[in-house]
Amino acid sequence: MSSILEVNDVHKRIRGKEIIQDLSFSVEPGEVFGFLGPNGAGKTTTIRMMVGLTPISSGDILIDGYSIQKSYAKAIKQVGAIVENPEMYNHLTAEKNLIHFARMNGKVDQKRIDELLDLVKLGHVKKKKVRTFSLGMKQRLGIAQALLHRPKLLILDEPTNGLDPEGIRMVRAYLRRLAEEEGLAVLVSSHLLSEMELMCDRFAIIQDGKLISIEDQRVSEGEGRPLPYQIDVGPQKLEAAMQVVKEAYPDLKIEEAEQRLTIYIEKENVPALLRYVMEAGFDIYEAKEDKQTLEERFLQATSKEGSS
Amino acid sequence: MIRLVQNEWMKLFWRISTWVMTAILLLGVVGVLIYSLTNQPSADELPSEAQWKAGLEQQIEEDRQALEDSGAAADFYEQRIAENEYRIQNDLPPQSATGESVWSFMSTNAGLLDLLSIFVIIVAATIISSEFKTGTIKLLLVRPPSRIKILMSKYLTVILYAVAMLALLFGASFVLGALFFGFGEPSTQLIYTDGEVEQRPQVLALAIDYLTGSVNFVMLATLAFAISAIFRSEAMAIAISVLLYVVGAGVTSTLALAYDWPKYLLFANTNLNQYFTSGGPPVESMTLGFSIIVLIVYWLIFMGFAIWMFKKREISVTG
Repeated sequence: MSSILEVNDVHKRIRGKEIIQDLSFSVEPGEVFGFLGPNGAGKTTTIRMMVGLTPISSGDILIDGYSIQKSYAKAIKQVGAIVENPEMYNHLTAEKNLIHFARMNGKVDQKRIDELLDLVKLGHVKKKKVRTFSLGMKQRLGIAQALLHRPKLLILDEPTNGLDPEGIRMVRAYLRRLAEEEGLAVLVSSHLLSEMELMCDRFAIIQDGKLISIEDQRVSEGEGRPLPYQIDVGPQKLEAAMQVVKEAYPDLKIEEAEQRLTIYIEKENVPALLRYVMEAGFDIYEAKEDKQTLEERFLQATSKEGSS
Repeated sequence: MIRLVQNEWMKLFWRISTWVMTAILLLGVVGVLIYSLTNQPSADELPSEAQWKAGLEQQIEEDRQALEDSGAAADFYEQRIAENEYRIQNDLPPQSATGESVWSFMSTNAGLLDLLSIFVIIVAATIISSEFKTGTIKLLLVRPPSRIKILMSKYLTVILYAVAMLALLFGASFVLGALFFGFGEPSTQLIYTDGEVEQRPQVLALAIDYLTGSVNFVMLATLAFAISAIFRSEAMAIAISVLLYVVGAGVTSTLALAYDWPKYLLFANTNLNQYFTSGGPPVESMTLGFSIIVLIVYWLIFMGFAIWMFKKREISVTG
């Protein structure tokens, strides 16, 4: 299937300063794509360019094959978005807010509005003014307005910002459901790595307006790539265990860290490795994937620029 | 486009301030009503024909005296003398001799057009800037309708609001006036130009008052709307427009005493009523056609600026 969102060599200059440099990536239907970077990295600027709020200096952004610059109306039809905060009309009710945005999109009927109010669990307060809503409720109403016209691409800027853990969990569950059940492409931005890991299939790391890397979590969870696994056999037996593993698996990269073995191995080979270590007479107190490394890589990526 | 106007209308009338403004306008009409009722002479207090004619003659005498004595404000006295003589000759009783009617009541209420103008300016100034203030402008613009359409729907809404308020003022004045004062005998308005006196039925005079008043506030609303689109600041748009509204005409007519060029200024032309009443335009060479062309040019400039700025602006919301 072709990509819903294509960002091609996008640059953004403001007063001679490059805010975004040579940014390219694409988002496929049915995936949740993360946009990770520290504050000020250019996430919001990029999102503004995607929805036509800010002109692109050079390059292009295609949504469902249409250029946001040249065929704005056709491109934006496929987009539902929240940029920055979910700002709704405080003096209108939740329902009136949705009616308002529905009128702007053409074919949206009352049934769809009710359906969405129920989806985001705001059906019982639809006659209440948005002024009285909590941030979490506003965020949910924001998602409802973005979904009204059944877009193919949902763009959410920091959707969990300011939410409590319960609210974050709800948003995460919605997004995953939308992507999996309705084949929606979802782009979310965040400055928190942990959130990206929980929510996204893939995510791009950007720093100072440049793409640093794209992480594919489906691959890292699945087969193929060796991942770091930490195995705790007790501090006394660490050296001996390392010897034994090295003899049996001469090709693997093995390190010692925090009094544990760190072995880079494909996921499907982990059970065999553990069985082997145990049969060699070692007790295993703990064995886990070393998620820390990703965080470290993110921090490295983001601090490298700052220190140089 | 109709849906967009519907949206703006909905947002406007869900605001409490809109209702407060409507209520103040109605209160104004009721205030004028109470004032007129308490000051209305009863039927037997009204002067008879002989009485009012005698009154006018006495006034003519006094005015002649004043003219001879000082020569100051000669224009004013000459006009009043000419008008009073015309009334006596043609049996046209002045307002004070006919008593209040729905027509005179509506004519008094035309003064409330000033209040209405300020309300329309406020609506025009806030309809764009409030979207920027709350950040909702972003959700408004990431939709298929183009920016020009959105801007135009907002402008149309302002005009619709102005028309609605005008209809309300007109309607309320008519209904209350008819109820309390009856239709009576319409008095006649006199126009004095270059020594000639003409008469005009009050109903026509009323229509001219309201129509020219509307032109005035439509221009100001357009100005406020453009400022709001350009600066996106409610406070600035309201302050500048209301300030211009209050002092603009005064400053312009002062300048017009000494120069010719003020005739190209907006405020020399917004009051089209000047071509229909005794005062005449601030600069002599001006005509109704000239004013209409100047107004159209200003309107095009305001709208052009608003569209141009709104189209090219990067939409960023701070805070």
